[in-house]
Amino acid sequence: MKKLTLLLLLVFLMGVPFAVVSVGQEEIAEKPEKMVLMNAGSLGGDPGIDYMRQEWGKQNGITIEVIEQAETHLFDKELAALSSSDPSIDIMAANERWIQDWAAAGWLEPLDEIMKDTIPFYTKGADAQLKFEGKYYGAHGGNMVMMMYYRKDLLEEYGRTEPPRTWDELIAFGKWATKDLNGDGTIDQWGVVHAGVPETHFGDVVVTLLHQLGGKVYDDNKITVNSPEARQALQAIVDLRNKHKISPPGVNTYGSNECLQALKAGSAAMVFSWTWMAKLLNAEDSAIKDNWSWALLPVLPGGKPSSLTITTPLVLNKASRYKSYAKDFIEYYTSYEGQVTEVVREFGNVALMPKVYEDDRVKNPPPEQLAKVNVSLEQWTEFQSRILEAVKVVQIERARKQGELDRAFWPELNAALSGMKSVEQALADAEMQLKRINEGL
Amino acid sequence: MALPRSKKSVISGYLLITPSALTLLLVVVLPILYVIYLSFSGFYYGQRTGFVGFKNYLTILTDPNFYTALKATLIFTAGSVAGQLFLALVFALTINEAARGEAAVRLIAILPYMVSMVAGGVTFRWMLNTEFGLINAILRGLHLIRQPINFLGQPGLAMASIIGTHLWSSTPFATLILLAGLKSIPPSVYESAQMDGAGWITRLTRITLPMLKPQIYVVLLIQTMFSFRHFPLPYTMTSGGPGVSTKTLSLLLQQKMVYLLFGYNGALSVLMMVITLVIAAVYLKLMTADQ
Repeated sequence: MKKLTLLLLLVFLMGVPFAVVSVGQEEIAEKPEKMVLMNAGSLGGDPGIDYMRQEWGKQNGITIEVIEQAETHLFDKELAALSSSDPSIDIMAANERWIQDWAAAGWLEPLDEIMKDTIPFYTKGADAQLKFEGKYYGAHGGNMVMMMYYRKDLLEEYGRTEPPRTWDELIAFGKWATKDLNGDGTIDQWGVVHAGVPETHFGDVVVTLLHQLGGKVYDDNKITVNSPEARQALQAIVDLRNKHKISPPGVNTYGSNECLQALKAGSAAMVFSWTWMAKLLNAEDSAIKDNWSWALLPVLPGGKPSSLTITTPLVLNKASRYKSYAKDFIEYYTSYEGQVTEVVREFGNVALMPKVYEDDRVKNPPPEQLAKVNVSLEQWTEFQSRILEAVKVVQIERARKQGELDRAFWPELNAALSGMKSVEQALADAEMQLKRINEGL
Repeated sequence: MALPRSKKSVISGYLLITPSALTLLLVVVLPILYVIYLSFSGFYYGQRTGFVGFKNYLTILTDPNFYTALKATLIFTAGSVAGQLFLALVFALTINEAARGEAAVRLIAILPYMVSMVAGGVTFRWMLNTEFGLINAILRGLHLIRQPINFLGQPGLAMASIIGTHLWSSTPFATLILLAGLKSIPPSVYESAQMDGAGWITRLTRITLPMLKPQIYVVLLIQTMFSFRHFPLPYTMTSGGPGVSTKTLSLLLQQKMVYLLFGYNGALSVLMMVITLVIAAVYLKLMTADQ
């Protein structure tokens, strides 16, 4: 009798986890009280999505609870949830680099039915990273583009009204702007600043220049990083620090925060970075308040204008129990209408839909939105028109294991910038590393 | 039939250690065995793809990144351990000989140990910044340098900066261990030596250091193991740069862990454990030989 009881207990205990898992994966048709969204960063920095989740919540009677996840650990947290079929997070703000692999692993719900009306609005190639084997697994929400911020007051002093459009113009202006202002023998105003540390966006700057020349890094996993175009692009940016001496020597240790600091302190004439910094530059503590603008990165000889985008597309967890409601919110946020709201409410965020910038609501945003970021309508119009220029020339590459490839690529670029390796050696080593990853090593 | 008294005590002894033994088995031995098992498995984004034999080990041992990271780890460990031992000895001797305010000095000395390493790393990263950093500003203000020093942007200096921050953060722990050792040396030994005319250096080399050997070995052993698998400072201060010059094995592990490559990580962890065990065995042998 005792043995039988023990056996029954054992069978029961073994069954519980399977029962829990199967309940977790079952879709529930009833309207939920709440859904969970994992956001990249704090809601304070994302007023667009914060506003829209509240509006959608009011319209549908569903609360969207947000997990504000630091971007540095977004990937591992989301990966852990997806790989364990955890249904507790319905919607995730991901990164375009991850979608291919997550879709291949079967962790994402296809979004084709909600994307069919949105796709025609996208700029050319913007959907490349959202697709896997012909189906859409993500929808663009919050995006940024690579721009060159510049000081308008310095440009005027230099005798120009238009920002540098070619690399030679950039070097000339950068040399003029690199100055020891207080005569203590130390440069305190630099020509060009950009992120250079191996983990941040230095790679994206190099890739933007490489795309200008028609080169690619790893498109569709064809590793072509050690190309003449890549060598020219990397050499050009390395030379700013090591040959022309118009970038600070410490630029190889700079992350995004250092770029922002250089901008706000007015210690750089030009900064290559993403558009998120814009909303902070007209703050009262900014030394360049009302004295800045942005433009596309100047073009290398033989190249044509290009920009890169970094996106946080929304994806739907396949284990979510409220897929139809989650799809509805994703559509609400990522559709044309949603993107108009996003651009108006979150200065610095970019819609990868050129038509959005022709919309009257974007051209004439409510005064309170402009007041929030201390921007006049005239400035707003200039900023948005330059963003539109970038959106039209965005180039996107798609590869499996893209995040892993980038992490192997960036340190090699940093080694070249730091003068530890020649450009040729760094790119040859990068090619070897990237190929190893592709081969599963 | 009643058991003899000696057998009873043996059984009760085993019963008493059973909870500890089971706990150790569960939280130490089984995870290690599981990691060894994982190291022979292939994974794709957290999904086990099957048994792969020694493939993960071969992948690591044929990867130039592994040797670069191993070199960086060994430099970091050697610099940290040597520096900590030296500084801890200096601090412990100073505190021990302080006539007044020993408690206050001890408290101040241990303060850095209370600061989270991540917070310390981020703070030092800003302090060492070329253009905005406090340290360069002070050095320039004192006219010790004309141009700012790129502390974190040159390979040798970057490693030295990380080691320096590690010393700031971890030396208090070693200091406390050595201070405890110093306190255990009977004052009468020093008094006799002094009466025999031994000076400060003689007392240090003939009495203090020999009698402090057990604590010195403990510091060496613990700090070597801690430093070998140290992660926060290279991560927060340089992200492994410039290039990969400060990319330690722990950083390499973290980079692969992000992709849930449990097989690769298992193999790398086993290799790190083997290296640590070899180092620990050398220390233990030296300790035993000394005793």
